[in-house]
Amino acid sequence: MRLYQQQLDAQIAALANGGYSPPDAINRAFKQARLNAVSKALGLQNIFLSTNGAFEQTSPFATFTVYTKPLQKDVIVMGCALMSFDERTENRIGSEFRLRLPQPLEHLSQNYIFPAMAFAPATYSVFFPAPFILKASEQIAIDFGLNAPQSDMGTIQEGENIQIVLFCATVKNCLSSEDIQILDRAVQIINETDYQRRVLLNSYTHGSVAVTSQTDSPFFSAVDNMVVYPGFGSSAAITKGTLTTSETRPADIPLIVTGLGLNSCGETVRISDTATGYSFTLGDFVYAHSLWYPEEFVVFTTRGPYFSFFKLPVPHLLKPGATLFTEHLSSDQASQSAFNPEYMVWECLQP
Amino acid sequence: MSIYNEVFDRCYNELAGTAGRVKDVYNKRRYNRAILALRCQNYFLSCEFTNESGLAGVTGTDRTDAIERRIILRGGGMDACFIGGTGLYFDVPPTGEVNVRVFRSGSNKPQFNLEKLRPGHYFSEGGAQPFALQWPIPMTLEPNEIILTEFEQVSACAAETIYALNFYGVAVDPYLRCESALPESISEQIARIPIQRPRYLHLKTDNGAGTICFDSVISDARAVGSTIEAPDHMLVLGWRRWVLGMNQDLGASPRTNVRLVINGGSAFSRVEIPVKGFEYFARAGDGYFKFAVPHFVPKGSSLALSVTSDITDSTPPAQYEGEVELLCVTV
Repeated sequence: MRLYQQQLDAQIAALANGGYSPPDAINRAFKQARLNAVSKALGLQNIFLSTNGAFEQTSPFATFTVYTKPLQKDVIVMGCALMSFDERTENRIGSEFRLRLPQPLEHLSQNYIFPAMAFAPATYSVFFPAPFILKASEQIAIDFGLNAPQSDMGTIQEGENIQIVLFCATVKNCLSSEDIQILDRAVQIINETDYQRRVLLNSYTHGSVAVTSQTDSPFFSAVDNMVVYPGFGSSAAITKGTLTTSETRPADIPLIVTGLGLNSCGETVRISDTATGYSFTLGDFVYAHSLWYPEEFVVFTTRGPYFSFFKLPVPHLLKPGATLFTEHLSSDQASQSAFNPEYMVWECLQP
Repeated sequence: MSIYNEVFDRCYNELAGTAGRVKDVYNKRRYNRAILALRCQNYFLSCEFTNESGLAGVTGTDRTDAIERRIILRGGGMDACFIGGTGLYFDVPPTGEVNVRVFRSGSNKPQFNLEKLRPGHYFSEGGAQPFALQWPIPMTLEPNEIILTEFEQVSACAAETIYALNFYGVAVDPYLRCESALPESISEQIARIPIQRPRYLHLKTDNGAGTICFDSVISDARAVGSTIEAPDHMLVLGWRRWVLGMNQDLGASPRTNVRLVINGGSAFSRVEIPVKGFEYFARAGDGYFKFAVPHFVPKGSSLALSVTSDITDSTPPAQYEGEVELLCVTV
């Protein structure tokens, strides 16, 4: 949002000045802000830290605790999203949770928090009131249960798999020589252009043909533009455990990746940057709805807002020649199955 | 710059090894924000309209309470839900539409709107729309000025449908009236806690675990919830609420009014107001109803909330009214 506002201000100043380029002083400040954004993106990496658990019995008094895996580096924890991994409950979470943080941090709350009003990803409101630093090797304990089990909500089900994803970021305290080169290239681009431009990177299955559900006929321009589970028709349920992949085209200049749109259902994904081999999810498959479900009932009959893409907690710097590679695994818990085809697109900005 | 972004930048600089340069600026901002919060008082104002018959053409008027101080209004929200009626639960969306006129007392002032508006054009109707709750610019109400509202049902709705139009704003005290030791205590805390910490505080009744619990399910049943004593000086950024006791119908709600007060301090509203105009605003990026300015809670104090049920003609299945969380950060 800050990038948006900065560019809007610069463009307004340009029009007020009767030209396309902003006035000199504003131009300099705007270019500096763009450069700062690139260098910050170079120094930050997203980590989607996931952990899953399930209730052992069907009872409003049931509880369970899971722990995040210890990390090798200090990270900034910004927020979390929760989603029922089990499609039988329509993705609604029938319980509450609390986060217990290691010393010297304090528990985030004494009581359980109901997630759907803020931490269900449909609300896009995954952030805590303020971020905090989690030290390397420390773990966060997450308890699931109900504050008032006597209210007999009756929504806790045995085997209801719940996934919590903590949105974290690592920070580099120095840039490598390759990073410096990318920064130089970004400076060049910034100096050559007045404004940033939006770049959409489609993620698609190589050699795929997308087929409509209406007639089982190919889409117009159906080749190499969508995520497809090969060998399955558009209306057939994707067998649990089926794997497919998708990949973007290589970036031709350094790109600041700011978000992601994915209309999947009933699948888990694992995302990596092919230049660095870095996995956003630390090698885990993460339930796609936990991250970027665009629309869902937040509470009964109240729909969450529709977002065209999931904004990454911190921007990702995609190097020239690199792609973003995604593995899609149909997780098909019960009645729901992965869509076929799916669309997946990365929202990016040039520096 | 929001508190969130400030804290993020502070964490970033800590891990990047560049904290030394920004620490003083960050701490100065923390102190200034705490003093600002001490000077300010949040206010909630409300108007409401109950269509008892549910017929189209029914009209109603209401007005806000007059406040003796200038209030900067930050925004407003309208209740989106049909509450009451004879359904098994209370969260059926309104089946009818209502138009509303909102105007200020006095003829020589800029008005909200002179024509009838479908509220969704100007006021958020819940559903977590990101627009309209927070107005593009704030406006100031003069002392003792009121906001008048006229409602007109334009298509039939269920009987006992209630519409509440709420406004939220802030008053500023030109004098910093607080204990003389407090500013020093704030400075001490800032030195002791290098980076502000997030915290969720629950408002809970004595017998309700982490919930607000009525003794019985009748009209005008009353419950008072309170938080734990704040372990440090805290800033309350806003709240989230949801309702228990509705079995599968998460989010369903008996009609309730709330009044939020700080123990021994100033209230957010003079009277209990219907909160539904505020509470579903999981605004994009926020996920909670954000106060116009953070509310300062001194160390050792707690917040209290009184809740009154106003059940019209049906009975919720349980007395567990719900949960209210206050979203806080340490000063």
